[in-house]
Amino acid sequence: MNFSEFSFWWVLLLFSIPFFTVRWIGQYFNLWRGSFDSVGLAAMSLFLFVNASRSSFIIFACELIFNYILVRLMLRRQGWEAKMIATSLVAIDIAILAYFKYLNFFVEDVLGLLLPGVATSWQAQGGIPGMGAIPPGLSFYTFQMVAFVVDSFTSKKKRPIGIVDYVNFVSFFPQVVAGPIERRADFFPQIEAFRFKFTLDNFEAGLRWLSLGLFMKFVLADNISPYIDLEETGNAWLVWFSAYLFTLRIYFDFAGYSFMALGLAKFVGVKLTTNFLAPYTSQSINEFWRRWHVTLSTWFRDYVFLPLMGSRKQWAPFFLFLTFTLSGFWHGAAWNFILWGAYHGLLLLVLRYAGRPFYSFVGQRLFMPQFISWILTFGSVILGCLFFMETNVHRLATKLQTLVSPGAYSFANIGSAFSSFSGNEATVLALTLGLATLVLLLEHIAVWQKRESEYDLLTSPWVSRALLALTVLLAANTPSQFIYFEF
Amino acid sequence: MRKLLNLTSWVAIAGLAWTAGYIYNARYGGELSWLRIMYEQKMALADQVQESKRVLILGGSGAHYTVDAGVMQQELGRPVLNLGLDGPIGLDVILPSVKDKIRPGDVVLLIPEYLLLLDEDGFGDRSGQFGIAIGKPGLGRIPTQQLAQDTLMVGAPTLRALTKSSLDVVEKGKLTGYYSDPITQNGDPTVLKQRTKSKWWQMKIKAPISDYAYQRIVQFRQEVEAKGATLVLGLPWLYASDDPQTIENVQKTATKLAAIAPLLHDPTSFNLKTDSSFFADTHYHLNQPARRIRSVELAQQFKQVMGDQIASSPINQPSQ
Repeated sequence: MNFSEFSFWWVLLLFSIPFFTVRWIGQYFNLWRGSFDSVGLAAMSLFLFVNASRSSFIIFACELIFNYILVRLMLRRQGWEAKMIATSLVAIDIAILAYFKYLNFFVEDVLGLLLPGVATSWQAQGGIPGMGAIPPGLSFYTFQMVAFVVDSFTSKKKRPIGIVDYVNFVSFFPQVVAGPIERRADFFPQIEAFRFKFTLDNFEAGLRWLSLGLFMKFVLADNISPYIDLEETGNAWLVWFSAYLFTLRIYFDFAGYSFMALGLAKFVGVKLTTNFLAPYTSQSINEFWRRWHVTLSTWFRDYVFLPLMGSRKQWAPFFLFLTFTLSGFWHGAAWNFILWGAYHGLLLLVLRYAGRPFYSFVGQRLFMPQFISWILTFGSVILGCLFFMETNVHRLATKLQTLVSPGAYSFANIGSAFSSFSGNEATVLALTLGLATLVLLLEHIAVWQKRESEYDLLTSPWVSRALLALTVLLAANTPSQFIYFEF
Repeated sequence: MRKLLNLTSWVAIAGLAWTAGYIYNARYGGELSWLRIMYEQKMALADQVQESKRVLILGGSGAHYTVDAGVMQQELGRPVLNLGLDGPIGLDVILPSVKDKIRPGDVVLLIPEYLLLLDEDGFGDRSGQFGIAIGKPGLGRIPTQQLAQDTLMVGAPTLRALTKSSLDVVEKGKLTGYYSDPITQNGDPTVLKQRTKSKWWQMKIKAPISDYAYQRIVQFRQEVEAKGATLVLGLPWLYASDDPQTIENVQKTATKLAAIAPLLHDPTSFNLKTDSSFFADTHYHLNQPARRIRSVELAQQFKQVMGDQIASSPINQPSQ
């Protein structure tokens, strides 16, 4: 669901008022059964999905019904029959994803390399039949469905699952479109026993996460967004600066979405997985991937890396590299995402073989090795973001060439970088970056103090209230699209 | 009880922030507030001029920054008031917001920009917020969802706007906005902005008047006539391309508008200008000499169309 669109909140309100009025009356006359809450939640989620995109909803509904029937069948069978159903189901789910997400890329960029005329005629006929773009949420709910199939297959207790519970598991409105990707063990028990729990504690907790998410998205990400210049290729300072801004934007945009989802789920009494754990406090790339988009990283670990590697542990570095390259490809059907994934895979290998010797070298000879590790990690992430943000491969190559050209770091280019902003623009950007730095600093302090949560300070009572007030006053009035909706 | 108070504090803090934002946006400081102030000044001027044979010029900023009502008043010998507002308010809100000021005997000259003529639903970015700011929420029958969203946003000033205002206070010692400059007794602007950074390009008109805009203007004619006044329409001057598509669409628009009410325009050029030196900061806003030329031309066209009525009407000077 697109939390930055007013229509989401409007439809939520339009649904909630009559539904909870009926629920209240039903409870008053002792006619309301607990299971009605599950039906209500399913209706709410599906209603919001239909409102977001009717064409995508049709695909979603077909996949949902198909998965439910086959998972149900699988749970009734044993041995090779169950395995065959699980394997087929996972293959079909991935095939559907591949069809919508990768067919255009395969025809235009892969076949197009071999047969130059193919791409043009494919584009002329409009690409994928029946669909102009990737249906919103397809990647996320497909991954969640695949994980559910695997977890159900490996589960020791093969209990049948109810259709309403399965619908709620897959379509839970706060997280269906952009995650977090929930797993059966954490999420399904909450869904099976679902009841709306409108307690004051839940509201308080929900509002704290929601205000953090709103602030990150609307004040930080959306105010940074207009300053990211993709066109600049010759001024190394500006290329770095845009990559740095994008590094901040993508975090505040996606973490903002995830925290809003967390907050909305808490309102109704559901605990979602925290998808970000202050990733920019990381002192190594390894740590970064434990803190960034946690549910996707663990999904790739459990359903790609470990099955691929199997017992061949001596090949772990190779499979690690392969998994990260695949993860890059998941982010987008374009060469730059593949490069981005491979870059991060390579960084992990460098860390694996050179990390400890380097750290001890720095520790013996230089001051504050932890700070140097953090700088190097953050710098590597910024460089990685250059791969991520630049979908034009030719322009990416030019930018990389600029970054390694000493002449591109001239004083004249510094002057040109400063003069590219008007006084008002520069002030807005400086204020936004000041607020962003403050948020990151509070995350650093929470990590340093080993608090219960990385966002303990940002979700503390008065800070979160201040964030809400600042969101009302400082939010950009033209919200940019959530970056992860494209994936 | 403490938990309930905790929850109440969220509402209180959000409410306080929204109220501060509303005061800035709608009352004083924000762009919307300057528009509201200008609107209220223009409505007060319309109340002041008691004569019945007034010419009221309506439209968006393409009327406000295009017409010199003072020059037209001299040419026509009857009171002329420039009630032009701002295009993004939308046709559906601009028209009812000035309707109450129309009196029997008035001639209402509507000069809508193509932004308004091509619009499919009569609403623009500022429709709901303008209604809220002038104390008439829902004006123009704005849809409920849009009104709810605009009500929420009218209390959200944005970092960009607050920064601009803060810098204004530091640099100029006062808050300013696009519409914050004083207006004359005829409702004309006293300051014309010039294009500074962006280069000129010729605008293309890619479609003729929308069915919605046509129907709304037909309805407006009925509303004006029900008040005993007369509606006259005008095509705006526009810095535009002379490509066949633009000319064809403007011709079609002119034909349809002329079917509703007398239309003031140059039948050769259809008011399309290919010389950017007439224009100030936008493709509609004219600089001072061009405003004078435009106003004299409008007065002449007005006399041709309304000649008989003007001849039979006593010449009244505004009571100012």
